[in-house]
Amino acid sequence: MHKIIDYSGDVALHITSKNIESLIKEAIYGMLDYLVDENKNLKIETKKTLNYLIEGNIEDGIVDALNFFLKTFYIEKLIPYRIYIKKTNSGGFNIKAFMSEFRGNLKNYIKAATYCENKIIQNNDTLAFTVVFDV
Amino acid sequence: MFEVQKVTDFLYKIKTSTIDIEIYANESIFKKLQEDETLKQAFSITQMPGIKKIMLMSDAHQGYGFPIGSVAAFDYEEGVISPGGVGYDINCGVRAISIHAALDEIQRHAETILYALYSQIPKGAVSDKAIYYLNDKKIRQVTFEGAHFAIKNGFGEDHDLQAIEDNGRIEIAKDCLTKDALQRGKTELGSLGSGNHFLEIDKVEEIFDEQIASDFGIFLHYPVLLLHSGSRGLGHQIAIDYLRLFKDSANSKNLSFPNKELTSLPFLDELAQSYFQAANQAANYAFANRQILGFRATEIIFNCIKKPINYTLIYDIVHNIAKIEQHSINGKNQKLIVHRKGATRAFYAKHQYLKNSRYFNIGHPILIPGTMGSSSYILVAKDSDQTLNSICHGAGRVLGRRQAIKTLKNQDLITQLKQKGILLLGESKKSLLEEAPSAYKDIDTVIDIVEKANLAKKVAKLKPFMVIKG
Repeated sequence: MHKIIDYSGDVALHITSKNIESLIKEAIYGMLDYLVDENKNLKIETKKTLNYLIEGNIEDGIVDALNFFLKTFYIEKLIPYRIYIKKTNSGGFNIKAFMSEFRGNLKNYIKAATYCENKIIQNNDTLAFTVVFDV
Repeated sequence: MFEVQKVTDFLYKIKTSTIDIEIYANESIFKKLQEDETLKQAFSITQMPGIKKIMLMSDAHQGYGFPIGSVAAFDYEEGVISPGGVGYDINCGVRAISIHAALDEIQRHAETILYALYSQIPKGAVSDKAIYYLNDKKIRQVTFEGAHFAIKNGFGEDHDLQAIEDNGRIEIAKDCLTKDALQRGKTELGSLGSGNHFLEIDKVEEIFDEQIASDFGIFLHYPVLLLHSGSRGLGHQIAIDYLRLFKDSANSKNLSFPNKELTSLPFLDELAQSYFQAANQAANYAFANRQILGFRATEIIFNCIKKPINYTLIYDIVHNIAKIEQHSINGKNQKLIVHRKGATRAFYAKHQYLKNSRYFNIGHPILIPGTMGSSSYILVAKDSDQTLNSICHGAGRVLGRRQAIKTLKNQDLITQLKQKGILLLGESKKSLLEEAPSAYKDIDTVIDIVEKANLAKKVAKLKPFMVIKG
């Protein structure tokens, strides 16, 4: 689950999930939800498959991954339509994203996903994570 | 939590183990600052290496890492540079242009001008609309030449350069643009952007100092074009890329920070120097961007009224940048890295940093935009060094974006402002509500604090009558 909340003059994406894999996926889809209004009725064609590896600090890795998909969108006009997350042997997470050409409207401009207060909080069996977007 | 000292009705100090935090605020604004994380963020900055001075201006509010409306100065040799202290929109700034046409002539064609500007100036949440598209070679040229590039390509006159901070170009020692920043910059030169970026035509409503106003090229009841924009995706990408590199470098050196957005490196570190160069390249892109936008907007206006283009660039001022400056602190002259994040320079007459400026003898115009429904101010600095020649950059937000939409959702801003004589166009109702006048502090109060704290004095007050929001 994800929702957009206020963060001072900017906004933040608040994500909850059961595990890290779905947290990462939800973060990417949550950002896209805020960013674009996509015409989902159009035929999807894979233009490119991208792999992105999160290693080390997971929180920072999620922010870096969001910025990676953000710049891919701004430069190549490609957005992920299907994402698979796999834990690696070294404890990292590999994101495999099938990218299609974006057809729709840009709803909101995001300058960047920031590292501000990006901490995963575990509450019982739920993980929560907040990413502040500079808008 | 903090030991607060009220120095005057407009200046508070908070003592810390390193230096005092100086806060320019009245009682109500100071109270508001205590409600969020602004003071805590300022306190974190006092714990950074080589910190010499930290100030919050009268428009300050919570940011990420550094507060918006803050000025933080670090020692040149012992101190640090922080991409978070500059922000993602590097060299974002405001430009004011005096339009040499009678106000009633502009107002007579108001709707035509509004729709022409709206349709011909790229704006909003887009990343591929520009007035001037660039290839690999030209984009590097822009980041080395700044506003000079724009003028060489027909967007303006040579004399404009004397009315731009740093004369529209910061000297670049080496090319430190990242690959992705370069790509993003190709399709956005001459675009306004979104969020709080705007283009408006104001009427000079009040003059407070006739002589200085006249020297600035400002005359009562004449139109002034005001625009707010920055370095667009190129600047955002430089901030993203270098913040990540800074973080990796800091991790490898076992440096830790109270907030990752405060991540910084010693200024003389090689990577820090590369960031400084890249940020200055973004600064030059922003200068070129505003030069192109401003000139194109004047062209559109004069095309609408069918007259030859005649304008005076009043000034182009910056509010998100780190600069090497010499200042006196406690009677000692020091070489500093001054981070202004949502704060502007304010150099008074005969200041050494104005020696190549048109305004050397009077001090440069300080442009402080208010909101789409209130006023903007043009000030001039008083002969004071207490804030490292810095003041606020705008009104400062009081409502979050979603809070503004929720609180104001039933309001028809376009009709409301039309009743006040202000024509308004924006990309969506939502984007307009986010930037509604009541989402910001009262600009008159913010400016009153600046004046009463003896930092600057009012020269002119502008009132918008045509606003385009990004």
